[in-house]
Amino acid sequence: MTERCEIKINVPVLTRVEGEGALDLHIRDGEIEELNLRIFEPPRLFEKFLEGRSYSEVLDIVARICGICPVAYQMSASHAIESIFGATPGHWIRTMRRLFYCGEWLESHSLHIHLLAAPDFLGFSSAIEMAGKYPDEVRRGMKIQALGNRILSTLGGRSVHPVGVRVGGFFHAPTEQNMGELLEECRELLPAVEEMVRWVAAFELPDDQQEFISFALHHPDEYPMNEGRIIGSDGLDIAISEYRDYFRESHVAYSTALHSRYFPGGVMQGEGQPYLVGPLARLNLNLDQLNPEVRDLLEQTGITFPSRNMFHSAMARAVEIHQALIEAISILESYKLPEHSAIEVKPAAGIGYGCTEAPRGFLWHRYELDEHGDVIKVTIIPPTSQNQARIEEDLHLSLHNLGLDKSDKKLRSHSETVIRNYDPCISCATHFLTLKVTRD
Amino acid sequence: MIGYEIYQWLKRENIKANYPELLLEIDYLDRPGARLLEYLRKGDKVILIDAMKAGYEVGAVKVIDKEVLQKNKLISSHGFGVADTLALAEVIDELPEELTILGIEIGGEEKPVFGEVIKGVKQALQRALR
Repeated sequence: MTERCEIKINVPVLTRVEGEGALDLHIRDGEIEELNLRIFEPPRLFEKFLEGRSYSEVLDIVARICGICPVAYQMSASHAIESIFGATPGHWIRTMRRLFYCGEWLESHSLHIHLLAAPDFLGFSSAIEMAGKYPDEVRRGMKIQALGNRILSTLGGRSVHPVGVRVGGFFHAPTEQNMGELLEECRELLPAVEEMVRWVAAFELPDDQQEFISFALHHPDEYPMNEGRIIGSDGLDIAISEYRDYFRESHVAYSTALHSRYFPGGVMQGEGQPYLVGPLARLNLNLDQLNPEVRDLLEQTGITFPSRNMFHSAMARAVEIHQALIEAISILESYKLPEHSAIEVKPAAGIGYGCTEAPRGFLWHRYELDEHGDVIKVTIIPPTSQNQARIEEDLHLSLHNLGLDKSDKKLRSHSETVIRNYDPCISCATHFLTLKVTRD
Repeated sequence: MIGYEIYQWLKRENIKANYPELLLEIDYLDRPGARLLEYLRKGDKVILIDAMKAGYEVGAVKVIDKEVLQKNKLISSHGFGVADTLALAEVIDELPEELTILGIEIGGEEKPVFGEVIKGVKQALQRALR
């Protein structure tokens, strides 16, 4: 017999990347006097945890920073460390890393579209409520997410905090049979993904045109994931090692999280500006790198990019799911079991950089190692930290456009929609925002 | 950590061998959020073991009604904890035919006595797997 009782489940969210968020909004005489997005970022501590650790431990540790985008952390770290060791993994490893990234984009973007963003755009208070009206769409979303996780566990041993990667490659190579089965699953899901793109394109998104500067990786031959230069909508084009010549993080009094800003003339010049990273920035800056099939479907939807409507981030995610699935199919179609799944690396002292495109935007790492390959110093700049100043800027503009005389409830709900649209990895809970409005 | 210790115990005891006809599969999940759905799909009969704070003695093992679970406010990654995922699974008709939720009361500083917990888990499993 089942026993009824009151339950409180203790999940220690404060120890995870997805922390808590709050918005303080002070309106005086119909103007925003103060708008502070307060968030807390425990993963910053990882930079200290890594000091003194061997390079061989780094990938398992950084994977723990995020349960949603561990691949990004592992890949940025791999590239940085391998650059110090002068190691160049070959074609098979490079391709499998791309497939690994496809898995992460599929799972992360699908989660965001179906469980976090869609309820906002379809007028529901939660994904559970939305699922009552759109059960097939939610099921489809969960299947896409599950496929992404399957790719991750095939290469990484498990989908959450994968353990299958190492500096120099992978601990094991999946069999051709495993990859053949995965290929079939990918092919089966392609029509559903195309449907999903059309579904998202039909959302009645707010038309909130804004001016903002975007940055993303750019690679001459492919849609950016693991490699490339950092390019900007203002014409910036730099090597990843030059990132800190133009971008700086700083503390703000109301938050433990750092804010990144862009300094067009170099970091010692003038005031820094907010900027955008993430799917909308990537798509705006890399349209030509899309697979032709993906571009064709996007054109059929009638939604045009580059776009200055921040809410087109949802569409950009849908397009990137399509792109990731088509790439995964193409990689799996030509899969061959390699002789070795990793190259041997020789530890060396030095400084190295890694920058890869996490689902939420590029994730920049810098490692300083000693001659044994032990970590001396690490800097990790996650996409959410880079987007914070932009989110605040967006909130200013969006709330003004909405009308500051709207009810607290409306202001709160619109603010939540704006923030969720960035898919912040700090506090992705569906209803996480505590809004304090004071009016004079 | 109590969940992980139980998982290790289930593996150590080779509990699967006691129920050869059931094709038992044991998974350990670290706060899976909506990924729990993928695991619910795997079987007709699912037993979910999780920590709870419901005011019982630390270490108490109780079968929890999912409706009660859903009434309780949860804090979890991406807003999708066990209760949310079960609610979603119900709406999209993806709950397993039989679902048993075992809650193990945890405390702050106080650690449950493992032997007592295992006794309770064993009994609950026997009932659920009958």
